[in-house]
Amino acid sequence: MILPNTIKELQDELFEKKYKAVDLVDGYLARIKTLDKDLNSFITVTEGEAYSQAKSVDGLLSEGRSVLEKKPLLGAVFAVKDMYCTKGIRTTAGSRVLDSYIPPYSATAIKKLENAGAILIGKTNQDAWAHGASGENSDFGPTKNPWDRSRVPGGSSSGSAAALGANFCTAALGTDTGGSVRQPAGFTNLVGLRPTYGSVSRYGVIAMASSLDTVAFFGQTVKDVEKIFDVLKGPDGYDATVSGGRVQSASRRTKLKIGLPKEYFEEGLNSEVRVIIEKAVSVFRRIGHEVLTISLPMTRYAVSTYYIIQPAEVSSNLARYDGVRFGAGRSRFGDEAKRRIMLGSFVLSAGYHDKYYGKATQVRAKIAQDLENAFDKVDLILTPTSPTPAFELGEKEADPLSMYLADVYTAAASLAGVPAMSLPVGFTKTGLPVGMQIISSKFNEEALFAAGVKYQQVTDWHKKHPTI
Amino acid sequence: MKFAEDRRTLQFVVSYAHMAKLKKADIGHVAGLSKLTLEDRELEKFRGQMSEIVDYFARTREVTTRAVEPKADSNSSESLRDDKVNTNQELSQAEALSGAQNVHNGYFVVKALLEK
Repeated sequence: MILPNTIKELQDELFEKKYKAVDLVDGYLARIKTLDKDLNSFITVTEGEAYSQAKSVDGLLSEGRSVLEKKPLLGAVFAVKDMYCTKGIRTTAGSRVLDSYIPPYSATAIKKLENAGAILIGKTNQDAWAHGASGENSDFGPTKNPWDRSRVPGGSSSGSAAALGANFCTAALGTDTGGSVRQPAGFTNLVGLRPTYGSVSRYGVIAMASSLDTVAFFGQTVKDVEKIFDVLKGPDGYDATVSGGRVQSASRRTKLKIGLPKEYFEEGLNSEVRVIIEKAVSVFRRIGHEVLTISLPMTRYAVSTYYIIQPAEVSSNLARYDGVRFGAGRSRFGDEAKRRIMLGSFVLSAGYHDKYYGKATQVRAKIAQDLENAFDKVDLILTPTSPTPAFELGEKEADPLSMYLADVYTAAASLAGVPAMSLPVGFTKTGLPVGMQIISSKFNEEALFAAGVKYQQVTDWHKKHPTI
Repeated sequence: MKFAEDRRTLQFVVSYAHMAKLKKADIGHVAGLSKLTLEDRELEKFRGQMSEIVDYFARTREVTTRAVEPKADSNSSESLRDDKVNTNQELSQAEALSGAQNVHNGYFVVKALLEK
């Protein structure tokens, strides 16, 4: 069968009776069975759950399209990063420490997807504990990029990006702490949204760095991503950073002011990526947005600040894995987890706390201020998502610092807690996708959606799929 | 390349600030704080990698932060629930123990902390 590309297409075809939800599950599973041996995007395929949820979906179709009001994701087939606890389904965080962990409860995001009529097809591969920008830190083997199997799909949400890129599902959940959804979205020609910190509950998501972690997700289009955000946002009472009553700007202005921070276009940006981003900027100009150059002088400190604060929080969050209540002992941590735990212990230790961690929290305040100042002048900030297209498997594996620098354009938005989205804007000469990041002010996802939807109306990069 | 450029800056910052390179004993110390057991070969590998990373952190010292309020979180608001038991969210004893490898009479088994 020909599988749909978007949630809208899938729902239209379900109501047109082109196929049933169980046929869809058949189709996706068949594709996974033949093609995922090589890509390695799934850790666990949830065949039983998928069929039972598909049967409930088929039972609801007779109610007609009005059922979409209470089930906006009806029939949408999701792959979910293995960071999300799923009741009765093994949840590993990509680590051998949890390779036989079966959670007794589900994350809020999973419950919200289920209540909205979505189908869970599997749990995806990832850098262990979400530590990495390539997927290669997984204890379950690296995931390959469906656009070029000698390259990484990005990380840490590597499996979710590869699975959606390869059309093994209709949408996918990842997590984004320093860029772990935006960067792989850019590497695999997908839309990836990191929502405002505090807009979506993280209850039941395995914690990495709590002041930075977000529930984030991939779709084939901006509209799909917006639909998922509408389902997932809002408080559940179990994540104190999420409060209700946030006002989203309701207006969908067609003309926006877009700032290009000059520091993101300096030395270090791959020349092909630069040209592709410049073309995307000219599209924005053509559709009536005003584009101006701005400066974010704190840019050069984002990665160093991020890699002090994040390991500090990692060392605390991973302290709970003692093998007593669940999971195996600490001897099973892989190299990258060990490195981050120790870096965190180091920057928090007596004699170094003020010099590193204390200082970084002050620099973080200045980075957030930098962005706030910019949003006094512009509605959106536009940057490349990553300095290069997808790099080769093994290229950065032995050099942790070079892997950390892959977050150079995504770390600032993470530190400031503002929403940011990557979307497809073109391909290199060798056919590798390139992503563009747009950033807006807190709780103003609307501006990202408005600009993104309009861009996708006049371009068709997001309609291109890899041949695998 | 940015990485190359970063590394040059890094070298400069390092020599300028006379950063102390991490020693094997330092790695042993933080491994102990982290409850990690490392082999000798790992100590050496992590010493090199972590020295380079910690050197890169030194870049934050270029920023003037006098009188800047530290920002530990990206969200200033906090919404706390009422301190009431929610029976919908409770795990049964069996569920709570379901992930443990070593249980005894409905309890987690832990290593003895105190000796006789």
